[in-house]
Amino acid sequence: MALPLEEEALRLLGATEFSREDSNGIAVYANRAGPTLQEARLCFVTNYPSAEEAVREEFLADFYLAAARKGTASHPTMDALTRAFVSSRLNPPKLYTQRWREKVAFVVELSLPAGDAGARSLGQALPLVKEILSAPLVRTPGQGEEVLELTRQDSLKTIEDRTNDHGNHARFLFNRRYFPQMEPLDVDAQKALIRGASLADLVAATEGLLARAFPLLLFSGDASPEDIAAPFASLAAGYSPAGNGTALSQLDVLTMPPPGEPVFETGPSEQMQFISAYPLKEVPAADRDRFALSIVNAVLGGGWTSRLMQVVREKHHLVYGIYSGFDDKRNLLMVRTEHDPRLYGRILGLVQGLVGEVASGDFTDEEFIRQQEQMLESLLVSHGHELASCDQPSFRIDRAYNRFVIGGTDLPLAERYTILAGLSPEDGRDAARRFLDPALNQVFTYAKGVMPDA
Amino acid sequence: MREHRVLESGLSIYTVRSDSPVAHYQLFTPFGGDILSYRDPGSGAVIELEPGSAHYFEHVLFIMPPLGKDGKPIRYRTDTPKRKKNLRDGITELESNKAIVVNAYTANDHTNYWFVTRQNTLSNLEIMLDFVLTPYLPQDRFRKEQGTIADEIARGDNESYWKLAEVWGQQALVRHGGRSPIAGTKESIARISLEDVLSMHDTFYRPSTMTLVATGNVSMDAVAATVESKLRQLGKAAYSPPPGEVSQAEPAGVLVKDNFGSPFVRPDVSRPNVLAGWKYILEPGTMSSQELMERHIAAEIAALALFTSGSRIRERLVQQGMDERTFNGGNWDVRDRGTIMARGDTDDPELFRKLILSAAEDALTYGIPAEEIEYARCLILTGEDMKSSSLLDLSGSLAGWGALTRNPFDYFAAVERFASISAAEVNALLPELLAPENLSFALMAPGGQ
Repeated sequence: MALPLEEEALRLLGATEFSREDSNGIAVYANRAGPTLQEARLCFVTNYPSAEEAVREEFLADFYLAAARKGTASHPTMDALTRAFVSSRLNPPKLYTQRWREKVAFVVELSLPAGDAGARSLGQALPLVKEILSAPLVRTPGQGEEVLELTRQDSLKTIEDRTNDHGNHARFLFNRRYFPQMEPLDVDAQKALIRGASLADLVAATEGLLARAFPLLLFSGDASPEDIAAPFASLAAGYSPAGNGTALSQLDVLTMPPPGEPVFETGPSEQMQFISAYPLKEVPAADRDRFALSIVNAVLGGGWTSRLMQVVREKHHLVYGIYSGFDDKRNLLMVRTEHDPRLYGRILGLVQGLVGEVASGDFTDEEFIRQQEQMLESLLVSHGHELASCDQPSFRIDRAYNRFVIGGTDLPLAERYTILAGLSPEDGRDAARRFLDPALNQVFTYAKGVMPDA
Repeated sequence: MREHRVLESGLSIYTVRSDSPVAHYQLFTPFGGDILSYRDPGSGAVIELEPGSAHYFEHVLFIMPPLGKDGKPIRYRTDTPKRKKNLRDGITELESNKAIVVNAYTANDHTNYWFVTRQNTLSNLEIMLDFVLTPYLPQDRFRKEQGTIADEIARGDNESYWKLAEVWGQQALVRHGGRSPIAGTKESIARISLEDVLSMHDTFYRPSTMTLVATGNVSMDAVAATVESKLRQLGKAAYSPPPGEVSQAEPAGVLVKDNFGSPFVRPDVSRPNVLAGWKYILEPGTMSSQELMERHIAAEIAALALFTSGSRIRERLVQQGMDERTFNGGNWDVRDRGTIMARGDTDDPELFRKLILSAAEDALTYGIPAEEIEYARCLILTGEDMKSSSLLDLSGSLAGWGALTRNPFDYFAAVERFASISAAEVNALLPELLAPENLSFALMAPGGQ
């Protein structure tokens, strides 16, 4: 009992697709969007031999970027640099790195006005980006040492501040323990790396990253992709990037170690950060299985109408929010919430009971179809960090980045729509029974105080 | 294409039609967390509210009566039965009717219920009107919501960044409702009564008080016809005057100029952090919309010119000792008040104070230089260029201005005014916006268990 395919939805999702046409030595993924803001993202993507090497190089490149943002010869402070962009009615570009295990992307992200004005804006912005990357004050003899030391102190403080974001820190600690490829360095090692780095280390890491990278440009807008690509290609050429397309390969599926006793980490969070991970019994090979599991996950904890929200929040009023997520690259389903530590035992019991029900296929056709319909509509709007609809370049670029750069989501949206619509509640039950085992469960919490009595 | 229509009931509808695959609907009332007392339009009595009342109401207003055996909503004699099974809720009803995103929030000056949908736009609008305009609050269910809200409050308490803003509010505001957090406290929400909540609904959720804003793939005629029909069905089509706006009578001056001698201590901060802010008071009862807008605009420009990234004044403050990594500032405003603020880490709170005072004194004495005002203008208008591409960002701005001046379309006028206001006009308002007696410094320091 599949859902009918809706032509209008398929048309809208089809319009989010990117076509690849290499230009001036870089791969260009372009999408035609309406006459609104245009978005471009130049990505230098590199795979390192190990996650540890990747994280070290990424940290150093990030340190370099932080120092570079402190000014150049012609714009000698961070404020002066910001002013140079804004005074030309340009949003300052976002320059950042991102890492997924061994893979690192060095990204230059720009929002541009619509039409030909976008290309003209690029002409103003990219020379400044080049100046920031190639000739920052930190590389100027005499001034560079002070900039380097200030940035070092800033970077150390930023590392400390991250540990005070309790939810994020709980996830960091969970990954350190169970997926060390995701977080190879603990906080002390991160600090030690920053403390010990010289300018030469930063330059070598950054230029090394760029030189071994595969460059690609993602663009969504109404300007000619060739006009947009040319100045980006020129910027990229300055680093002679020698990587090839294998840098864009899909991420392997990781395996979590066998679950054990609950782990209670302590830290200054008054609320208990609660993570309950359910590794799958095997890796789903077929797309249909992965998508069926994503709907099963939605039944469990995908949103407001899910069982976790309806039972733990709406029936028992124990938490403000509780969700689950299906992560096909870690091959697990993960329940997350935060709560009064005194409620640990009750919440754990409810979560285990609900996962047990869903894993045994104990859900109604109506529940499954409601989540399925919701997921289909949700393909047209993003509502996580920001709210964006599928006609917006930012929506399209984010998905293209996820698909082509991260390699996390491997199918076009229209294809995902078609597969999702083609699943029946029985497909969901079958996938739940084959892949989920409620006994395979690792509980991990992070909170102030002593280990709770479950 | 923009249209505005006022229905017979007094409900104002604003539509902005655009070529979007989705539509965004929001229905809001000017009842936010700051309102802790009001005059009941019927009895004339002043009703005192517990902190967190508007927010508590936002939570429980989604509750809908169960369906009867015929599949239609039950007919009920009381909207506050002791208990009732098989309750429905507005989010589930909307999502089951293919709304994509559904939510609500309580701000200081308004409460807003909204959804984004591609399909079933008008039937989704009917669902939202149903649960927002007709409270159905079983007594046991009403009380149980305390647990959920208590956890929401605890989550907020677990974030030091926002807690410092609360500390500042308690120092700077003398009697304004903004002294209390929007969600209230665990103690105050336990005291909120069902009777109070129902009285609030009668006052603040009558159609003449409310505004509906629809953007995207929408038609004013279709929206208005749907709303008219629904209001008739709910018995709310006749005009009933909205409650008068009551001034909070917030005086000039702050309660606490600084807490440097007894800082707010948290174990989850790594170094001292100071929030400095000038409160400014607006009187919507006596000021025209134009006067309100001028102050909101001048405050926004002044705050960015003084303290935000890229300003030459900020650049100088960093050279003089402000922390470049964290120091920043801006304007935060609601209907009847605002704050020009600056915040940053510091090992020397006294130096932080000295630098802030010196920047403000220069601005008051000599005016903010025209080039800094021009920079702030560029920053704002660049941000507006970015927003203009997003239906959903536009909707947020319309709700914001709908609360500030009660006219969502003032957003468009405001964007034009940001472009045209002169440096002299901004500087002329600085004595109101940066009054020395309205400045308070809140310090948060690491410590404790």
